[in-house]
Amino acid sequence: MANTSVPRFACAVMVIVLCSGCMNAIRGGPGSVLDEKFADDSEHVSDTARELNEKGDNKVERNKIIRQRLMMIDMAYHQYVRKLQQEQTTGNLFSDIADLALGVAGTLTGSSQEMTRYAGASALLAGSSAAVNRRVLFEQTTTALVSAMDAFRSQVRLRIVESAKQETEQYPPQEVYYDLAAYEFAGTLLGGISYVQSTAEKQKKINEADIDSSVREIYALNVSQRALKRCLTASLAGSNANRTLVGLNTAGAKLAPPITADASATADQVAQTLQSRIRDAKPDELVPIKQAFVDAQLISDCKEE
Amino acid sequence: MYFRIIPGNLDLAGIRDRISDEELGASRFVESKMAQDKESGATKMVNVVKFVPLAPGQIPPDPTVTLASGQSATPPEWRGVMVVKGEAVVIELRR
Repeated sequence: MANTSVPRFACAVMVIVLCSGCMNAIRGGPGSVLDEKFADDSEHVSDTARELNEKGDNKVERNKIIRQRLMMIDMAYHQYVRKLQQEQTTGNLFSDIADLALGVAGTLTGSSQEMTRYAGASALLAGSSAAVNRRVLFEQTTTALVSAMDAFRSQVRLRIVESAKQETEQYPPQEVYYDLAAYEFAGTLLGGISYVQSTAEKQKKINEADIDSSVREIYALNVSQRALKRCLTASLAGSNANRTLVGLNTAGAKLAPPITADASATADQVAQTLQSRIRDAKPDELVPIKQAFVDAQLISDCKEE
Repeated sequence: MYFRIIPGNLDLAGIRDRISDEELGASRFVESKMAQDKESGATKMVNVVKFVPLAPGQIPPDPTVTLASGQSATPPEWRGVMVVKGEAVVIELRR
């Protein structure tokens, strides 16, 4: 016991000594500014804060500052995205983004779709056979993050534009500053990632619920089946003079299984039901549908077939 | 809206045909996401495509599907990642 207490004490002292000059770093945030005077030349007062502090109590002036700053942030953002896309071509930033991608993928839980969507790494993480090469991983990550940044920026921008309609009492200068800083942050890779993380869980639930409900593969059609499907769909357009309620109901009754519409159903409603039948039809079911449509005189024939 | 699957082993022309075949039933492509096909039992990547139904009789203009190049002046209707011939690539859909 005596042997271990000395090293422990020594370690504790060493930690205190080493950290005495770097408390801000250990604190995990910026240094406190509460002891500082609010001065225009302070490094903690940005030009935007200074302008807002001087003129932000006047609605017209406040909105002019907002307008100018939005434009400046937008210009800087578009310049950054262009640079990012150029670097996408040259691959300069590749390793950083790839690491970032794997980091994001690791933080998302459960849904492989989401991981793939945002980081492009799920194929690797899940041990999939899909070959995702380094170039693709980089490209899709950049694309996904820029999309996320765009979405996040739109969200914050809408909040700013809506708030700017209010008087300065409701939307005071300090709130403006907060929102402008948030808008700028939304246009960073870190902002994009935080947006992805906050929306991924919500999105995952929606996606999984949707996708689990018997999603099937799209049927591959040959040339004549394609022409037939086009013709059948076109026959349900309101512009088809032969598309009458009687004709639609007759066609529905001739299908297997038959479609029996309510007596109060309109032509549009019956057409919608028939359209769903065409949409869901297997390729070999298109011909019987055509026969029902011909018998009901919705079409005379599908000449493209 | 509703979802359909496009296999991950198709080439760009095959993907375009499948999208077009679906749209002939009066619907329009919205977006695609890569996913693992749980039904297949193997770890197979597929494209889960979202469509929105249109009014009866409405067929959108034929789509074209190309690899994203960033060269075109006009923005695509959709840009995103799809599994093409087993590889994840960034593609663009235009009309």
